[in-house]
Amino acid sequence: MKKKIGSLLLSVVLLVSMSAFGMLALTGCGGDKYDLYVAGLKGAYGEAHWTELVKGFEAKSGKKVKLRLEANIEETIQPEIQAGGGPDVIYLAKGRRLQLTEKMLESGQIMDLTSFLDEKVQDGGKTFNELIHADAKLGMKETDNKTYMIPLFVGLNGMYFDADKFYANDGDGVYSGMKDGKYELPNTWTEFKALGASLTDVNTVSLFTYPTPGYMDALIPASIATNAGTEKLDDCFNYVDNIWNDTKVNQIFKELAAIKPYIYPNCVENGMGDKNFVQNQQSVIDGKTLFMCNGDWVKGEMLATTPATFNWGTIPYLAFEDGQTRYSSTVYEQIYINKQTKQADLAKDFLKYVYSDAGQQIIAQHSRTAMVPTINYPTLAAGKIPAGALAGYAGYYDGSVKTISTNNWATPGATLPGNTPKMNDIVCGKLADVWKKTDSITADAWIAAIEALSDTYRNSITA
Amino acid sequence: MEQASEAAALQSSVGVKKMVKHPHARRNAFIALCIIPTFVLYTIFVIYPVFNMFYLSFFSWNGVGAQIPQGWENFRVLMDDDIFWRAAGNTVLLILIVTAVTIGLALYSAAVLAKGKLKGKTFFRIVLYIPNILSIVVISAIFSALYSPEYGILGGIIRLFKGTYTGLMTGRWTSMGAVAVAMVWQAVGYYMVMYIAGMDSIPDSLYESASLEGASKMRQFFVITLPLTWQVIRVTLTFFVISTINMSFLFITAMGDTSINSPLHVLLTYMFERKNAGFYGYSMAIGSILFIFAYAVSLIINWLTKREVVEV
Repeated sequence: MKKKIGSLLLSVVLLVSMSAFGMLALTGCGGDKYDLYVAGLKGAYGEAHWTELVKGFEAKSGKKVKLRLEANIEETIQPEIQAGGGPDVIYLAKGRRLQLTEKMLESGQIMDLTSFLDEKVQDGGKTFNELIHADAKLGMKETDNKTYMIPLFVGLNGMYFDADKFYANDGDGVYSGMKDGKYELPNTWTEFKALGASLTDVNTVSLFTYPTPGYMDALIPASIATNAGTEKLDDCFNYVDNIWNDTKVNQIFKELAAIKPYIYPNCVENGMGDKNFVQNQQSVIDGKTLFMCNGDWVKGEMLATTPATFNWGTIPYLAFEDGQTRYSSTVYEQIYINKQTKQADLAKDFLKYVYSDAGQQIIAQHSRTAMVPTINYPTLAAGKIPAGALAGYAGYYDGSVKTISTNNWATPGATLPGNTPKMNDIVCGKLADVWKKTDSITADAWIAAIEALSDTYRNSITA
Repeated sequence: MEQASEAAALQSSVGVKKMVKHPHARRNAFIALCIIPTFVLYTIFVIYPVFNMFYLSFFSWNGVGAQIPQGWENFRVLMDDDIFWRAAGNTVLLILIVTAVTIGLALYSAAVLAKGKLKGKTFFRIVLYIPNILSIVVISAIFSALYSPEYGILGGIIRLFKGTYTGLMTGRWTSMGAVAVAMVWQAVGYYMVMYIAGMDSIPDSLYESASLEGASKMRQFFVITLPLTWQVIRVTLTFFVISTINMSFLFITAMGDTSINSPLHVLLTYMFERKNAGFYGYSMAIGSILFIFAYAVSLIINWLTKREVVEV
């Protein structure tokens, strides 16, 4: 009898303590009280600027902010949002693998900020609409003509190479061969292919690599805009019928298939999944490959394995004929407010603080060369961001380099069949199937697959 | 006389019944109290999600929006889906190969290390078991490095013989083989240890009399060792098939490509990819099929390996 009571007591104690630990683990060490919950991606720019921004905001407003930054932030906040709560302010871009921002947008769970943009940021006297760079404003409105998200960071994509290996192009449209051991910088795909053909052994020096096929989501739209114009590019993003059979639109796919003999031999293998893509990037630093398509973050990403004497060069994506406009593409990372927030005013105050002069200066000082797409950022960031990094963006801020924004796919209807791939999986991802050594597909098969998928998406919207 | 004994018998039986009822009632209450918490947790975290999975497979849901009823639409699309059938084929193939090779190697190692007088027996047992302790991430990193086209040993060896090597992860069969090798390497030690335990309980006298009568080592293995360890093998076989389904997901996610174009998809990775793409209902439909498949496989294996228990 005593034994039974004793063991019963013990099991109750065990159960209570285990559930207590479980509760603690679930709510995370005590669960302090806070007024505002800010969550975001811990990415290539680091997290120091967020900690400083939160400190500055707490000092100014006297409110407590809970900050959560993780590399896989979607996995943490999506359950919270599904349960009806979640962060008040979210910093998370479109185009992520888990697509949380797109899903929230589709389901109307982001606060409408159209009228908010006419409010002034803190201590600046300018409104959001006045401050945000014209190029960034292009993609801000959604299909219903309202703005839900504000672009916080801009990244330029383009062709990256070792600047010391090249001499300037003489503009005659023909590849002029090597001079003093340097290659001529190509301006067009014809010169690019000729450069590839001139390389004797692709195992020693090859022409081009991608980190993963997904990185082509900048190169391909930019090339379509160059060859066919920005209106046709918009048609592509809106799944217009037969747009992908337009020869000017689909020439890029044929060119990509044509350079298959000159690509880095391990390109496709390393690009499978997200484990070994860094080796593709390293091949450019090591001199095994001449070009890769990438974004500005690669300089920070590869810093540990780049020699101090290495100089990065960037050019916009290539033209097809002389006289065409060449583009770099911009990728914006957005910040937005959760519609379910109970702290709408405080969340808006936080946004006003981030875009104020003080906030932008904190970002310039503490982030790893993050660029905010506002017109006063170059002045505020001077002296805080390395001069070379700022110079690379001079063309963006003064409007001389033409940019397009990518990943502007129109939101599909809700009746897509369950096995539909994402557009980028076929437009970009299928390049791996074209470039692989065995069982590869032709460029025409690739184009046909894109057109078929575009039809599926269009039918889901009009259905 | 008879009446008295009858009365006594009646009294004693009633008394016995009384005595039987009460202690059991208290004991049963105590047992129930101990089991109920676990049962409740099990219902919430195992039983309910399974029903939820079947329920959701009849809807279309993107994870944050409304759930739209679809009827059998998800399953109809599934039947026409090439990637689903390829994933199903890959799953079946992986189960067959990995199970056969692992159990075979485990049995062989166990037979050599259990009763044999091999020098360094303990050393081999430890070395063969260590892969099982390593985390899947570590093993995947090891094999990824091994298979890497730039820095891998495999590439180096092939180039030594003047071949060209550009990696294993792009082709369907090569990548399946690469993952299967990693899975076998990880699992052999665990099953070897279980079979050694089973084989150690077989008395030496059987082997002695067998060798006296002139039976070879091979014949001894098939006639003595195998029937007497059959129950152990049977249990591990069922368990391992289910385990392969789970482990294949971990290894493929850690080692290979999980985008929709990947040649390497198995049912679990395809289900996960569809969930990430925002098609929760469809992914639950795949999950439902996988659930039924796993159950059917274990039932079939159980039935196929039924034998009357041989005991010493």
